[in-house]
Amino acid sequence: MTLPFELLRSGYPYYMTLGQRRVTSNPVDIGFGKENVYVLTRGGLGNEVRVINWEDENLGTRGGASLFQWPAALLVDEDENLYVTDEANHKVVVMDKDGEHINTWGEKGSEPGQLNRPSGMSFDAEGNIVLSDAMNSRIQRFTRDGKHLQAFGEFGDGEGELNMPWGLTVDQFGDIFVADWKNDRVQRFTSEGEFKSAIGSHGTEKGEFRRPSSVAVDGHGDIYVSDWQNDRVQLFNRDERYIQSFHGNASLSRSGKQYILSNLVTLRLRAEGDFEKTQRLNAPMMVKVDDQFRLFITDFGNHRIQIYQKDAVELSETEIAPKMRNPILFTT
Amino acid sequence: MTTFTQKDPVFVVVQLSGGNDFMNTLVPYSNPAYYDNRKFLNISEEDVLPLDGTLGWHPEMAPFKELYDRGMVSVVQGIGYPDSNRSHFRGMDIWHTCAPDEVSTIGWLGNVIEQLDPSGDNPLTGVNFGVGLPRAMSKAGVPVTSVSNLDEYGLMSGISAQQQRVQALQIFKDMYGQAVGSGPVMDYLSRTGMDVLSGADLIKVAPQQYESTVEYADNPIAKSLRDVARVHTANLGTRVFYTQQGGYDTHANQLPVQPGLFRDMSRAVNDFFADLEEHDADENVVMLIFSEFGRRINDNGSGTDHGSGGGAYLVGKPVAGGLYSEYPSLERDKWEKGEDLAHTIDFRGIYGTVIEQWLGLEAAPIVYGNFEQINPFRAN
Amino acid sequence: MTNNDLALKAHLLRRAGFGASRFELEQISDKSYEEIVEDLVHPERFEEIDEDYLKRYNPEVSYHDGHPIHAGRWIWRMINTKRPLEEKMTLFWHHVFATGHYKGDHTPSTIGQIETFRENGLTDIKQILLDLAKDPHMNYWLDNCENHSDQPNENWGRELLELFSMGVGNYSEEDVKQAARAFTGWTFEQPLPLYPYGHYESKFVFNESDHDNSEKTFLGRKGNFNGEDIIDIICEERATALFICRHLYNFFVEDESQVPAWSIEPPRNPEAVDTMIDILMSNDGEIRPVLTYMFNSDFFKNSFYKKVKNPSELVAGTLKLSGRYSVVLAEGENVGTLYNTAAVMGQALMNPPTVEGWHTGHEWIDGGTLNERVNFAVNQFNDVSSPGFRDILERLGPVVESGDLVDRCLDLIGPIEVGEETRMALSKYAEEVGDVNLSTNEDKVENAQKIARMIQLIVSTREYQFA
Repeated sequence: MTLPFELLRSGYPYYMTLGQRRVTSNPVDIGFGKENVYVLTRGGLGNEVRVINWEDENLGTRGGASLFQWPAALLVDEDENLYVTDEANHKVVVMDKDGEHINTWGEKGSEPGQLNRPSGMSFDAEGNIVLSDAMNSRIQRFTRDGKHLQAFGEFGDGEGELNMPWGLTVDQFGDIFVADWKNDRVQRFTSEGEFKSAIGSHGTEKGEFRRPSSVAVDGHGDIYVSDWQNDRVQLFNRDERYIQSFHGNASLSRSGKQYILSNLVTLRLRAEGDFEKTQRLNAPMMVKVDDQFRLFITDFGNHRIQIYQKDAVELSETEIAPKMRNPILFTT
Repeated sequence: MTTFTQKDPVFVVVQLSGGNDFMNTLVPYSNPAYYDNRKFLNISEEDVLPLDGTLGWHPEMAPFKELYDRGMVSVVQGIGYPDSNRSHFRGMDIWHTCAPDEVSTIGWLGNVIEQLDPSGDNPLTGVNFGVGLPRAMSKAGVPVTSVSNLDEYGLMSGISAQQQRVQALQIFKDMYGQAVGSGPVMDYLSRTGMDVLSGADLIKVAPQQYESTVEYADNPIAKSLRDVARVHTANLGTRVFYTQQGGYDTHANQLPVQPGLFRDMSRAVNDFFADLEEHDADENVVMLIFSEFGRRINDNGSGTDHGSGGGAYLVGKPVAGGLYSEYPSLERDKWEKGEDLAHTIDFRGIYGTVIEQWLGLEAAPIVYGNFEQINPFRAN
Repeated sequence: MTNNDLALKAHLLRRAGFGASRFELEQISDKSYEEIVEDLVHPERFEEIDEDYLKRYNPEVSYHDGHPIHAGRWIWRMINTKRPLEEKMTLFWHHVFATGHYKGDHTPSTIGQIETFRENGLTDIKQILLDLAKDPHMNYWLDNCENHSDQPNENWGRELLELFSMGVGNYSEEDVKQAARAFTGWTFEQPLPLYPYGHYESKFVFNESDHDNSEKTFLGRKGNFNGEDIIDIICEERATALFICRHLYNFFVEDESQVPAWSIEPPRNPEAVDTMIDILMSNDGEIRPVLTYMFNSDFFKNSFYKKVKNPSELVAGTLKLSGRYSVVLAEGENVGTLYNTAAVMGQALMNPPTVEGWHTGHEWIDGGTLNERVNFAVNQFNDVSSPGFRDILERLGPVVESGDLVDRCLDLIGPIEVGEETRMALSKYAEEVGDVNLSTNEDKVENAQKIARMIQLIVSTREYQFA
């Protein structure tokens, strides 16, 4: 596993939107099967896993109130088993792809292996589950069937300390990136749980956060942070330098278009409306990236998934000038 | 007024909340326009339960069809009102108050109950099953009872140990019962508290006296209708019952959702009438099933949106059965607002039909005018 | 009764806020009554409530697709705010300018109006009426969007005069027509539809080409009046000051008759209302000085139990005692349910039945709503592990003698006073229970239920129904 020496960043165009209200209602997380897209929903319009496909067809739901109350995060394994954290009942619920309940593990407490509001989850390279144990201000690692392997972190705002962590991810080198929610930063740990670095602080400027809710890292080492209360996703390169922000460029999803075309009044109202704001993100909760460098944002407040496609050329060391010590104005 | 029964006529209202899709309840399966406009959400000819060669019931309405085949269901096709309001809240208000052009807080059944029991002596003349009183039953000064759980109805119902609840109720009685002259509002509170105690005492005999071989399913509408049966068979003088089934707002996922609702509802209604029959208590009961609006003619790919021109059903032994009014036209030039079924009969006429022909009261002051009525009841 | 009396402070916080737990009363124990009033009328001295925890655990408050969750969020704010009078004044203006959700069914506008009351509730009458006139929710509720220069619609003009400012009898039918003309062209931007991605907000629009700019005669004044001018004129009238002050008195001090009777019945306390009017008018319509005067007045301090709690007060006040629905929600708590809780007691927040608002005072109470009020309050103390109840248990100390049980519990729940019948009934229970031993944890586990039952009986009293 190596990273390219540098990138020519051509751009990061908007690619497409999936879902709509009453289908992918209040989406909090997303996962992918071979053909299916699994969207975890939580709120007044549904607490369940919604299954759709790339044609944006509605294929039904999995799970629901009988299995979990406050679903926070979703993982999909290679057999398309679905893992859902339940913050209200301090457990992880496992279903197969058809929604058959397979397993539930976890209990409330603060001892190692116990949980207090588990939220974000990620698989590590071995397929174990790393999760945020939010109210215990720590990160824990479990096997898929709930055997406890590791715990690190404690309450505080110093280096390596956490305050209600939410989303997290494990990169290809095993580093763990945590959205340290109440501390308005992202922290990076080694796989052993040693603090490596921190990104961001409280604010609304570039590189600052208001309650970051999740983090993702792509095959170039680029870091994506859903800056939840600033209604944007920020991109940092592997050196943790700010690159750009995504504020939302949504267009109508396939199902949304079909919906509107069958409603004459809705068509009329849209014809009168101001569209600027319809593209924007509202409380983006989770970011995910796949191996094709597509960025997925669960646009929670707008009941949809916004997808972006990275366009970049990988450069080797000989294809780019060396780093410069000083900035220059002579750039012609 | 019908003279079908010597007993006082009883009226049960079942509200299907959210706006039921009439086109997929009573399906115009022989009309090609139905399939043209319902590209995704149609019930195929093989699946419908045919009724007369042109219309058929949704397949999950089988228990309801059984009642229809026995002549116990009068179907009101195309019920609605001019310029249908597509808001659930406002739409429901209009159905509840008969006042489409102004905001009223007086429910039509509040007026009915007041006329049935002018002295307001029996707090059980009108009984609602559900959380909170529907506006249809509310009118200042008209006492009605709203029950969310019949088995635990009344004060201190959250105290689970029976003996402790009895003790708490006794203390409540002591606190509310003895006050006189501690101020008009305090006195009013005392009286109201004592009324609540005696109302609960009245209604608690209902579950105690009830026995039945009918086994209702385990879902909210079945539970509610079983509660109606338990109170009705207790002969507590209840004349108007109200309950509802939610979930009909099928903008998406209509195909999986609507059948489940129909399964629950049609089974529960069928069980309810079987239960009453077993108790020899069905000859004086008529049920009205309605929804605040129908849904859009065109589907949207996975569901249907708020529309107009729905259906209502009068059910019971006293009704004559059959189809009433006309099925709204599917021809495009007859559509309302270019996208909705146009209603063919005003709901206030159906209320008027029940008020005059079943309950024996004058309709015009309650529905605010004279509207076309139908003749859905059997002659004696 | 001295100003430092705990009972008086508790009274103030029940009226100017939503009650207080004993812990909250202790936090202000070193402040005088007058200082507490000053703090209340200056909410900006205290931090705004942090909604991030709420948004994390009830994430659906982040979007505006239905009003119940936002009405519940409002009750959650009533419980947890450090600025209780800010929320109380918001509720006050909601009572006066009753706008129902059901007509527009557009949540961003519904909650936007409440946000406006929260921002301007303590400013001055002119500002408040002007914001109201520009509010899309009100505009649609009273049909001003259909008030065109060539085809006036009087609804807003009429209710502005009748229900929102001067009251019946202080203006003519002609004034209504002229006011309506002045508000032609006051409309709002068409919002986008709910589907497929949720609601978007609207905002005020002044459509000059649809405004009747010709001369009008309003309340004896002549001019090419626009809506602002109408509001300016209304605010000069003593009738307006009377109407607002009577509302304040009714809401904060003592239950009056219902609004429609005001043109016939004089105020309960004409002297008090007169002084309030003078203060309001000599301060350019500012609300703050009137409130300061009112809370410090003898008539306010002597108004114990002269008001029936509205459902919001009952729900928020009881939850403050039980400690549930706090800033960080407990597992499974959903603030949307609080909307239903108050709604079944007769107050569906954000959705009042008509433009006349809720009938208040003893009209909050009927058989059904009393049943709901009592059962709700009782059920908050079924769970002896609730933080509020645990706090009460700690404060009771190691042993509570039977003879003290009633007074100790009445004190910790309010303090509240009860009548003789109530006291006797409660004492009977205390005698049956005997002395309660709470010395060890085992004792607490064993005997907590006895204390909880006493609290349950207290919150089901008639007296508890009063603010």
